[in-house]
Amino acid sequence: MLRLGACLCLLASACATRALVHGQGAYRPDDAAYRIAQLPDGALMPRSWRLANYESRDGVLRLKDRRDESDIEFTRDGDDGTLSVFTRDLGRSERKLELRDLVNRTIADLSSPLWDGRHFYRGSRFQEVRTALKEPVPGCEAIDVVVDAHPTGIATFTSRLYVLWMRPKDRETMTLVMYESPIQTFAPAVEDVIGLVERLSCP
Amino acid sequence: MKKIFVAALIVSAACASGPRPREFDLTPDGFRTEGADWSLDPVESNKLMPDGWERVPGTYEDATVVGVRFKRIHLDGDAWLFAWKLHGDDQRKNLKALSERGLTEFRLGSGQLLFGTVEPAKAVLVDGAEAQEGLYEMRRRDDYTPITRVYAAFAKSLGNDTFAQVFYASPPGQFDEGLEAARSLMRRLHFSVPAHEAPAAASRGAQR
Repeated sequence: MLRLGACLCLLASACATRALVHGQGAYRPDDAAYRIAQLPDGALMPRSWRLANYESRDGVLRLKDRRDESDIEFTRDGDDGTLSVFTRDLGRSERKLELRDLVNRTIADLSSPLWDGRHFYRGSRFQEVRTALKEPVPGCEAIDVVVDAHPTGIATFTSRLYVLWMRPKDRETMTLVMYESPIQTFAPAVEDVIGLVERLSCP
Repeated sequence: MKKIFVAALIVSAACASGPRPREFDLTPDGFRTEGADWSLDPVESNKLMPDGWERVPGTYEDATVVGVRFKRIHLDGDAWLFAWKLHGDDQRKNLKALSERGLTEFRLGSGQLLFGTVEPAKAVLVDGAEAQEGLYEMRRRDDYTPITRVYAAFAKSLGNDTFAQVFYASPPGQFDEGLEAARSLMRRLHFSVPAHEAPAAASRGAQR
């Protein structure tokens, strides 16, 4: 009986979906190399944002879908803006690159057509709205930029993006913070996103 | 060919975020579809549009959607009215977000044609709704002269449960003559107002 219980316990822990840990005045996805300080009211984002990919289970925020590979996703209540945070491991050669080279590589990847096995993405074209800047994220190196984007083959820009690339000092991972919105509704929310970036740190 | 393209573009923009449309008929409250909480005032002689326009027959299949298309008889130009029930998260989206969806579909559907703003969206008075209208145009990337001019108006009911959009597209040289009729299509709309909004809406109605 004890062995069965142990097995169930092991299985449960193996199958447990990733958590968004809230403690010591900050939020941190399981195993993430960064943390995000909470707002004065204890929330991660202001009230006009909705945490889209986590749900509370037994008082713990856990991913709704265990296949979800993003760290955090927010949607906006009043408009169609979305905020996504992704982290990926960097390969050995990528760890040797400067962050700006990784930024250029990401933009090149986003510009190229992609077939992911289910959907075809024709790629996007970008135009810088605000030049790339280094951001002071404690414990990390970071670069952010604001760009307008349109799908390849479409002449008119359809969305505006704020993107931050962030790499901890061990250079093993890279985290992207990406806020995407129709251009007309970008401005009202970007201050909230920059506020989140200012609360980021890599302990 | 160009007209077919624009028509297809508008229909795809209008249908992008809504189900397929349904018929509506003249009632004592104006043109209305059964169960809908909005109506459209007729113009003189109980018609949907003034002289010079005719309705294009269409297919109407869904219980919550109205889609009506009109074309000009002696000039080129088409107008569309679409309205549907908002559900779920869409009820919380503001007018700017919902109108951007319609305009983004235009941008995507315009392909290699540039879709630009002629007059930025501005608020308009519509009974029981928050509404805006703007003028846009499509042109080739290397050509200053527009190919098509577009009027686009959007209204979200104060009850947050209905969304309506009016599009009018015409060659630029014939655009102005049809613009007032297209604008009236939006301004003749009336939306039912929730009880707690009634006094404010009544005062808005009085301004019309």
